[in-house]
Amino acid sequence: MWSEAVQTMPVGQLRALQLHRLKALLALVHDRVEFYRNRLDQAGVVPSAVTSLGDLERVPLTSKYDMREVFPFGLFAVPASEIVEVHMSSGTTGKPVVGGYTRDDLELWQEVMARTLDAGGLHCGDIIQVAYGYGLFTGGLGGHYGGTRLGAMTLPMSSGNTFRQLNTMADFGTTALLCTPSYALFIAEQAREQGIDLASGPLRAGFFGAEPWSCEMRSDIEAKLGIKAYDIYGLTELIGPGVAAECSEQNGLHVFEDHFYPEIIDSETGAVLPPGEKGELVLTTLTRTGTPVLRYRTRDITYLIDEPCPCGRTSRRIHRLMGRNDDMLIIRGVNVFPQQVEEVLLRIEGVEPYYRIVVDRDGSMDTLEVEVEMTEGLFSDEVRTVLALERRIEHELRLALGIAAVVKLVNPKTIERSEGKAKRIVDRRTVTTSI
Amino acid sequence: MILRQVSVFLESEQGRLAPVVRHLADRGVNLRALMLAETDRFGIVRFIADDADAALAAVQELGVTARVSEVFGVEVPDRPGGLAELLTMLDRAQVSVEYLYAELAEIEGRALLVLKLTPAEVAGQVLAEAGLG
Repeated sequence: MWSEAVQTMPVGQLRALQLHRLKALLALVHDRVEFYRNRLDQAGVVPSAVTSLGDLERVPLTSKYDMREVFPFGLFAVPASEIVEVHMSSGTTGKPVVGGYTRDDLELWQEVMARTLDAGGLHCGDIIQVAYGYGLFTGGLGGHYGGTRLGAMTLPMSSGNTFRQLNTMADFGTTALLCTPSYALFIAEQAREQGIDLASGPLRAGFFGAEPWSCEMRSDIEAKLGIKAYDIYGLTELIGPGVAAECSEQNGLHVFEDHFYPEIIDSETGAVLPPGEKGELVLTTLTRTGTPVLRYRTRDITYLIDEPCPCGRTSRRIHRLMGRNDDMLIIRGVNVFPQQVEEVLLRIEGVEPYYRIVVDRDGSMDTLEVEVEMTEGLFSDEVRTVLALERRIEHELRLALGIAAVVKLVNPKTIERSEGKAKRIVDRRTVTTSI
Repeated sequence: MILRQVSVFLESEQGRLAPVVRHLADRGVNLRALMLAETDRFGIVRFIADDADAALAAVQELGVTARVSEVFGVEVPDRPGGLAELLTMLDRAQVSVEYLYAELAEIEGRALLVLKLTPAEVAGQVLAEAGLG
């Protein structure tokens, strides 16, 4: 096992290590990051007076919206000159959240991603195809760093160009695939169409994350690709992938607790919930130096599993994600908020702020359709004018969301008006994550 | 002559045209010419009625998007070459035909064509000079 000593550390020792690191973290951010200093001071939390992990509960929660306020450098705990790499969330509902990585942070990322791949049975000698997108998105480089740290041959394919993905798999004898689960299914389907039998090839493991996927989808991927499909978890605000990952038991994701401290809270009251109770996952980075994060509200719903795992790792696990408590959609691995769609529509003269987002799955690919009401102001007797309008909205949506959407014009007043929260989203994808 | 045409937006689902035409009939609106333009995403039905305002009001009762716009009505002789002469003339004047359709019933050896022409000012002049305004 990769870093076996720390991953199998007795729980008492692990808690002591976490407390030690938490105290150092609080002292660091209080000293270096005005954003956190103000919040800690307001809450009356004195870093030197923290004596137990339970004290963390008194530290204010941090939301994506809080973090955006201090774009771009407000979360850095080191001078910008010590930051060697930057990643960003997709900037979905305004400014993005910037993650700055010091050399130490990159070391940390390599370590936790190596653990992730090792937990799924990879080692030096494996041939890893990274088909997550490379760039500001953390999937590609995160997977890459894990592969190279592990000593495996790492192919930085990035996403897309499925024909080349398949050729590369065949030519190199790829043994592990990293991508979004929907892309894995798409690759499987393309392979079948081209008469390529991946199931009997050397491919044996896949590491899939960045979007919710059901148990049925896991079985489907495992059967079609002839692999074990592991669920992995992470988020750009924390580090990227490498926060938690499944082991060979495939029964919950081990949180790499010596680096990321998990809590489950009641979304309404903010109260910390005991293991086994479902709530919102909150994470604190114990060892990040570039952009440390205190109690980040992930909006992901899950619960903590605090029972020994046959694999020997002593860290707590999170159940596979069970949903979100905001209206964020994850479409083809990209985070989409309804407000982004609304902002685009309101920029176009004549468009009413009534719209409906319909998300579905066509085979393995998510589809996004935006229904927009055809008003008299938009309507023309000429087909090409109406087509141009559709294309313009689609173009603007693509720019804003980063993924393609199909615009469907509908009759006025056919989209439901409601007194309270408008029902703007229809998600026809079935995602059930009960194990 | 200038005609007032009613255009109606139709969603792409099958069977969207029939209720519109049925409702116009119920309201006693007589259709003199009609054309359906469709794409794979939506359709636009355009028509000329005896009373455009009454037709528009009737269509709007259905809650669909509709509008009245001005198009040209041109009578051409009902013989081979009648249309070709008209189009050649418009072409020479650099007038584009956006769309064109014909009246449903023929009157006394002449066919009434409905044309959307751009630029409309130039088209109006050309047709007037040819005695077709």
